[in-house]
Amino acid sequence: MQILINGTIQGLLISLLAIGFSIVYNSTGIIYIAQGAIYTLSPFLLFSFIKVGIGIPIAVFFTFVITIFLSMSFEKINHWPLYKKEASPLIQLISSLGIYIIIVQIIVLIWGNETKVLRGGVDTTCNFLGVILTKSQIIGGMTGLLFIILFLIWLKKSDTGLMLIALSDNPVQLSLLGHDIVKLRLLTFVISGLFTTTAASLTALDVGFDPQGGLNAVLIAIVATIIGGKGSFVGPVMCGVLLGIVRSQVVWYTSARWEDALTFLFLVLFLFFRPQGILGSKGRIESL
Amino acid sequence: MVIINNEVDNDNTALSVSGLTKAFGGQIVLHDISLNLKQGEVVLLRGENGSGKTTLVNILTGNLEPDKGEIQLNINGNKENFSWPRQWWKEINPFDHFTPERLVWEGVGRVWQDIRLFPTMSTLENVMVSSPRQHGENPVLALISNKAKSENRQNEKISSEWLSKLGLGDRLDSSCDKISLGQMKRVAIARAIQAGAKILFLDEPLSGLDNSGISEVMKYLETIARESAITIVIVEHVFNIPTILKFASTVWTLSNGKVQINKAHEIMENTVNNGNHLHDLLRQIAGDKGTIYTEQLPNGAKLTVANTDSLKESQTALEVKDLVIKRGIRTVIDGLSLTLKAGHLYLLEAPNGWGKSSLLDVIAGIHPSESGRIILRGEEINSLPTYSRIKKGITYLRSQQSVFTSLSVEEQRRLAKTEGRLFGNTLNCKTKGGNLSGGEKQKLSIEMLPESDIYLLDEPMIGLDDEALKSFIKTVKNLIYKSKTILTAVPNVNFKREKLCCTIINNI
Amino acid sequence: MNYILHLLIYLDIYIIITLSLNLLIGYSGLFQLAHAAYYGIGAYTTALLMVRLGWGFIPSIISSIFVTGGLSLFVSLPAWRFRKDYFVILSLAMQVAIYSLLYNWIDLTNGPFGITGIPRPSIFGYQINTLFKMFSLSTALTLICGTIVFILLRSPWGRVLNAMRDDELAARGLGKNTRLFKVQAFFIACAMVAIAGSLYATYVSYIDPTSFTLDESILMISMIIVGGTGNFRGPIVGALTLIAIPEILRFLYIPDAIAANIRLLIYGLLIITMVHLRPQGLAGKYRFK
Repeated sequence: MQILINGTIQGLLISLLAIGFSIVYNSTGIIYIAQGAIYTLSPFLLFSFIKVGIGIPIAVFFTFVITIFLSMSFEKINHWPLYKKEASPLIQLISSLGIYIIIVQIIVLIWGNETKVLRGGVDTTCNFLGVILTKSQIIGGMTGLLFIILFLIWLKKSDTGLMLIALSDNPVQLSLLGHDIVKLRLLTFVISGLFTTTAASLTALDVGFDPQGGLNAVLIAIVATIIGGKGSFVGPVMCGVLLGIVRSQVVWYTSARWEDALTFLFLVLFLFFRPQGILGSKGRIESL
Repeated sequence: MVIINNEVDNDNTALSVSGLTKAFGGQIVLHDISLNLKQGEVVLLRGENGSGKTTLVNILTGNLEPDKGEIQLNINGNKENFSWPRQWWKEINPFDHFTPERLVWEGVGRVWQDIRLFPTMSTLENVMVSSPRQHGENPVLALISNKAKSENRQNEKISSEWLSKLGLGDRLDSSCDKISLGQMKRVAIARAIQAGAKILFLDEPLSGLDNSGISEVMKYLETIARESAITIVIVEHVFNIPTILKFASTVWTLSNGKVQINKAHEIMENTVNNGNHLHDLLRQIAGDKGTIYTEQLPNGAKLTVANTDSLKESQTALEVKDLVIKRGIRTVIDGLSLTLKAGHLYLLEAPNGWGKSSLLDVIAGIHPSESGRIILRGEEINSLPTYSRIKKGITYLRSQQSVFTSLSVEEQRRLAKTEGRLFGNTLNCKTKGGNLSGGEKQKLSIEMLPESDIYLLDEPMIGLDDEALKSFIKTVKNLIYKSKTILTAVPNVNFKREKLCCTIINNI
Repeated sequence: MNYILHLLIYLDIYIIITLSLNLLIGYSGLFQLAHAAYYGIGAYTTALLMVRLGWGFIPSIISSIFVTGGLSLFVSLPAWRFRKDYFVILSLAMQVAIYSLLYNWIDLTNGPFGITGIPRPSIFGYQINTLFKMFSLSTALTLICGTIVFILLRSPWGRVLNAMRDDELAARGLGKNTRLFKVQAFFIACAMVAIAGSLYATYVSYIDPTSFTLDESILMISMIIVGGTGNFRGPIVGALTLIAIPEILRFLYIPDAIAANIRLLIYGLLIITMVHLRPQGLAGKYRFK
């Protein structure tokens, strides 16, 4: 039971990341590796702002402002110009990788390579129905759940949400209806920045952070997205939680080393047997 | 033109198809098709856009699998049988898949409508690569086997001779964008035959060609039919059908997913695509006071213009100046200029491959042009993205992919801010776009068009039933009365133009 | 003089690597982010055979070729269904998985402690015991690999690969079993990178997982992007350029602690610059669309 709850909370955080990845991937087709850069950067920013002494709420605010602004700049400076040149998804991916490398190296140059923590000292725990949870876990779990629910409701009910779903379905047709897809694409990056920073900060609160974990985190988000189904928004969320649970079970029964290996095995199996994921739609007939 | 009398071998059926059915989403495209192809036959496959011609060809060349049916091949005594649904053990066997390359090995070849020569390879290499069963294609043998090397040299000699016979002896090393379209098409045909095709499917081989190009390709096809005893199936569109009819022995007509088989000499008049509704449309618009006239455009296209009142002065709505459009390495439109006035209906008739959709794509901003200007009410809009042009008064109905497959009808209307009154309640609100039939998709996309000043419509009438057509024509008429401008692109049609038109202007 | 030989040996190794990666990226359309992992498998196989089992260089390198090539089959045979961008993700996953294996399977690979004491090669009794002899060996192997690639690219096999890259569907429409060609290209590429890995292992005599990380794969990709792809000399130019950069850095007196980071930063900047301004690389023929 303990493992299950641990896994679920971990899974919620993975779902946040998966939303951050899939909203860009679904809408633009970009394999958004640079999300890892935002993931890596957020805790460091938070750390420094808190250290400077401006208080936690303001530190959080500034962190979000910077990461969201940075995410938007990825689109404005890199991805949109490439889109206008009709670049292939592969080129977009390579450029995203380049961005990731550059930002992570800058982080190392500024902050150094060691692991850091966001809270001082040992975490307080509480006992909830026989399960022991740390304060970070509780904050993480509840925030994650809240954000996810709000997001899915917004997506389904609001006009903008509908436009985002349409954007991932048929962007040309959306622009032919007169909708500003430049703004919409920027919006997806903003939402991605929001969710990624949240997930990164909550995770960092729990287990600390270092400059090297970003790519791994994005990879897990990618696994959740692909297994959940391309084109679906609910799928990645569900699979995020599923992955969290599976990974905790793996750690419990074998050891932490094999966590990643099994995650990718899962991915590979899905790509073979059901490439459209659990909830995804079978792709359009290959244009001949 | 020489008329070929093909020795049709009545006892030797090369390809036989029965019960072929294929559906996409909610729409049945091919309905229980049964056909027979005898060795040496030349078949014309015709049908309107959307009738399933391309799907049928894709299936017969291994690019697509049908939902149900059977295909039997009998080439050079080699019999092969495919049937669907496939048993599960056949799916697992990696050597028994229904793929394009498998069918080429059986002797079925294909020439694509957009030709698809390999752009980074020279014409010689394009032909050399097609030779089947080259020893040098095995990497180990390529390195160590002398036999592979001499085979390669032999291949080079034979391929050079092929190309010389085509008049391309001096273009062996040039890349494919430096030869004419007609030459490209003949290289593509040579390639398919070199690869071992005994049944050759040609997808609109004459599209985009001028008269000399057409006679080049036809002469080549006739030579091949005569010398190599190859069975040929030509998919062609209205415009070029008379040319093919002189060559073909049989005609397959596809309509609404069903096929009708006739002997070529039975088809006196081209009864497909009779364009009655266009005739109606033009006549209703012109009424008593308007005029209709037709301009000739390059490469076999025609622009028919109708207005409601020939005496009324009208403003220029949209201008296109010296537009050059490329698709890949091919220049599709080379310096086209048009002037569109308010309150006029423009009918652009052109064969497939001419560039109708490319032209409309460029005006709407979906595809960039190589050079040229697009001027909307005096303002140049070349640098504006699509949605800005829409806001400035252009509306575009594409011929494909014009609905959202994962959204319901209701949601799409919400997105387009329309209330769906145009076609009454014939569309179910909850159905997802991807599950609509072709006609329903078309109705939905017409409904979703934003109100505008300039309407670009790419083949808007496909799939509409009579009721829907009447509503559509009424809508178009109302728009013209409101001084809007409509440019409609359609494939070439036959209608009694002489009864309508006063003048035919040559404007090449 | 010794320093220059050292540099040239590295250049040789990377030329073999880029030639092999070019077969995948520039010809088969398989964008491989796991090349460093296969490089590592090649290195570890040779190292383990020579150190633990006492095998000579030649049998070790041959085995390493087949082990790495065999591993590639594991990936390429089932991968025929994969769309291009899924293949990239898959290769990313392979890189992480293989690295994790090298790092965590301590019984086999000694984990983070690596394998020490890898002996210098001895070819039919001729001991490679000077830097110059090592250089001769590496250059000889590079020339062999280069010749093989050169002949292959001009052969009918290479022609089909070219066609496949231009338009896979049209190539299939001419009867080419593109799946088979991809599997072959993958095998050859991995076999070749195993040669590079074996050379590396016997040259530096100590290997550990940190030489075969994703960063290393990224370096290899950068060489291809900067140098250009789709022809023979693009990758060589790429290897030259990116080997030269750390050397130039040396002259700028950048402290060692951050030299690695600056180097990676430059690789990232190069990738972005090339992708935006010159997708065909410095000397390549094929323009990445």
